[in-house]
Amino acid sequence: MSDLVVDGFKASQVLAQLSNATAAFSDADKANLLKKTNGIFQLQVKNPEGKEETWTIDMKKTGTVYKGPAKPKADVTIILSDDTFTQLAEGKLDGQKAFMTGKLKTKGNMMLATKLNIVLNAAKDRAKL
Amino acid sequence: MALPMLISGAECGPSNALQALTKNFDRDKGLQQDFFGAGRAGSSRETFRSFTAPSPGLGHEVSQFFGGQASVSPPQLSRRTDFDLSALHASLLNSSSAPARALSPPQAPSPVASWATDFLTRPPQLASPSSPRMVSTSPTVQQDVAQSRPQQFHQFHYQQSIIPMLPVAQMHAMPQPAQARMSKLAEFDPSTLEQAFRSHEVSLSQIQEVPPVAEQTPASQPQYDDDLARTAGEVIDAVSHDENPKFKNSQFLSLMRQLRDHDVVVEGNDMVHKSEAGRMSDAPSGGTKGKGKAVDFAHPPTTIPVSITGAGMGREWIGQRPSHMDPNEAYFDAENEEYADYWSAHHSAPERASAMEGQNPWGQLQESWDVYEATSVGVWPVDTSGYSFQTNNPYLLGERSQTNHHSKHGVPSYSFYESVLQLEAAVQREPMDAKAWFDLGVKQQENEREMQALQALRRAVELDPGHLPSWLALAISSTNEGLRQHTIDAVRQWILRNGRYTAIVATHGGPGGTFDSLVSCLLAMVRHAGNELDADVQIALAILLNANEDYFKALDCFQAALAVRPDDWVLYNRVGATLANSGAADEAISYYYRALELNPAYIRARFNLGISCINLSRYDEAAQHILDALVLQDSDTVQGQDSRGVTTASLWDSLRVTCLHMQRTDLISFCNNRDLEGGILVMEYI
Repeated sequence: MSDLVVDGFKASQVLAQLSNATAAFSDADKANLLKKTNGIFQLQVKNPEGKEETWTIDMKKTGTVYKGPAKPKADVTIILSDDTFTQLAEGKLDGQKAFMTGKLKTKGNMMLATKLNIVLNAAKDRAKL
Repeated sequence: MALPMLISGAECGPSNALQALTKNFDRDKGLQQDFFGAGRAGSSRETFRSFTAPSPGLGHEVSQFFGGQASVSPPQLSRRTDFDLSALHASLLNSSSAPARALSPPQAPSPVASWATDFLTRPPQLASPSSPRMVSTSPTVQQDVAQSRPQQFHQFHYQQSIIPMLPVAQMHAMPQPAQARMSKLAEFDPSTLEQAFRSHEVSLSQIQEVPPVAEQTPASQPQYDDDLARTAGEVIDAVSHDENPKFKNSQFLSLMRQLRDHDVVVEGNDMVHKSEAGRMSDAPSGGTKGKGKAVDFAHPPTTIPVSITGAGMGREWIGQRPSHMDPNEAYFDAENEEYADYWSAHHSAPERASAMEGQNPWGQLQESWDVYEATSVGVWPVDTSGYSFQTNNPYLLGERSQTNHHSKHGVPSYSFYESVLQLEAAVQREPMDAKAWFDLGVKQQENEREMQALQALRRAVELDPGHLPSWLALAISSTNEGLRQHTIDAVRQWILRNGRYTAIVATHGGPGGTFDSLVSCLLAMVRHAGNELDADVQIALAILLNANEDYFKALDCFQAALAVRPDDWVLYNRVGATLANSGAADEAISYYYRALELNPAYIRARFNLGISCINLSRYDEAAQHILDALVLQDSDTVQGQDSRGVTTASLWDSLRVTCLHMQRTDLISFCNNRDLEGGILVMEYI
């Protein structure tokens, strides 16, 4: 999991968290999430220094997060900045809004990109009322 | 589809006009129809064919088109072509435009049974859902039917009127026993009727088949019936050499014969006499209409003929068969009649009702017993909510010993707050007390045990639907569990049962079943209240908005409610949770702390605090908070019992994730084993 973390990328922290959370899932929960998402997301994140890194969230076959480009071909590639990703993960930014304002670009199955939210939220416990 | 039935059902010769018709129907005319209706040509490769209803004037063109099908007709087909329809038009009765009839050129309407043949051709037209053109033209066809019908019926009614004082409409409106009695009257000459029946029987039986077709019943049914009849015939043939009279007269053989002759058809799991089958399938439409009226021609086309072929008449016909039949036949007919009597007796409504009345006391008794279950400690009500109580609850041992046990077992007292065990004991003592269930549910919510809370609250509203706080609490639990529809239902019930706002709700038009209508209704309630703020309405609104993930509006509502009730720790937690879910975990934390100040034993707030800490990457803090929450939950366990059922799995999971973040793999095993004591020991060294 630590291999996910890259210095200078806040997104890597979020992804490490996601990785831990999915690792902690029970098999049933995991299967459920895979079924719900059924896609391989490749994230190309650019940090303010202009460096770019790629991670892959495989929510189709293995339900894991790893660094580097998707090994079976990605269903959708999402290109965004580090800040945008952090905001997305925190729920401060709506994926669709980000797409509309051009903060987020996609290649491939665009509809699948809207499911990124589901994946990011699944990793988080929801506070109960 | 429906056509095979019509073909097989019609007892025509091998050269059936309908078969020719089927060939026309089975062709895919989608392209041409598009062509027609919309007045433009579309490629057959187009996936979506748009279809617009043809203008009324197109009927003529349609007939021309189907007549001259071999050549592709352009849309701007001139009205007068060399194709001559006049011969067909002449043979039609009362119909100005009859595209459907022109569609079946091989069929030559005979003047004798024109009505019957009309019906033979009509059903496929009415019952062809696959063809959009047919659907669109069916009004014309029905109109056509309506035009031609009265005339035919006058003729028919004339034959019917031989029966004294029994007009058609009255007959079919009559209950079954009356019909049976009527069939016994037999004052009229059956032989005159018989001829009439014979001529109409074929067409009527066709009509009987129509309604199921229109409703798109499985098309295999008629085929199946036919197969059954054939098989039955084969069985009879195979045993025909057997001379044993006992066997010949056996019920089995008679049944086989009935099957072969289509006297008995299979409906669902039952064998039904054919006339009965028709009656039963059409009883709902026939029974409600025209009672006491004279013959009513405004009846929908199917009801009148069906009533005529009803059970009574059908049996009459069988009973009056000419005497040339052999004794065996007579025996079978008698059997048939008995069978039919049996059926009519068992399907007459009054008798069924009386049977129900007889059973009811026993049914009620059984039901009232089902509510209770016998256990070793006495008879307890069965817990329909599915709530599982902890076993060996010390508080259950009696009212008096309560305080003693309290101190003896060292269950940490929540000063004036009761523990879950106390509340469970209260519920178990008075299982029909909605208030007790509600208290338990709210307590379980506070203790972060949502499933139990949900079960308890459902039980509470079941017992007392008028208890408004239960509905709100149920809505909260449903939201937390992500059951959006349940939330909406609960809020809706809350609005409907809220006596204070009945007038406003009524003027508003009442809440619908949708999210938006509920929100607008609640807003109307807020507006009506004016300066006087009702916290409950705000909370209900906030719950709904939360379920819809509209966190910013929900936050407003909760904060408005908080302004009215500044000491409600539950509300502080709710504001915090809403903030956290909207992504403002750092702001949420202060609200959680305030909630915990007001009620240190508020497990949910503690757990939420832990979650927020995880989201802020403050894992050490998070682990501490979640562990505290677990310890508090565990304290609700009966001493000496396994605590694993009491602590919530989600807490352990969160703790496990936290441990992963902290890179403390040694702690994960404790989480996996739900080993609280071991975990505490290690955690203390953090």
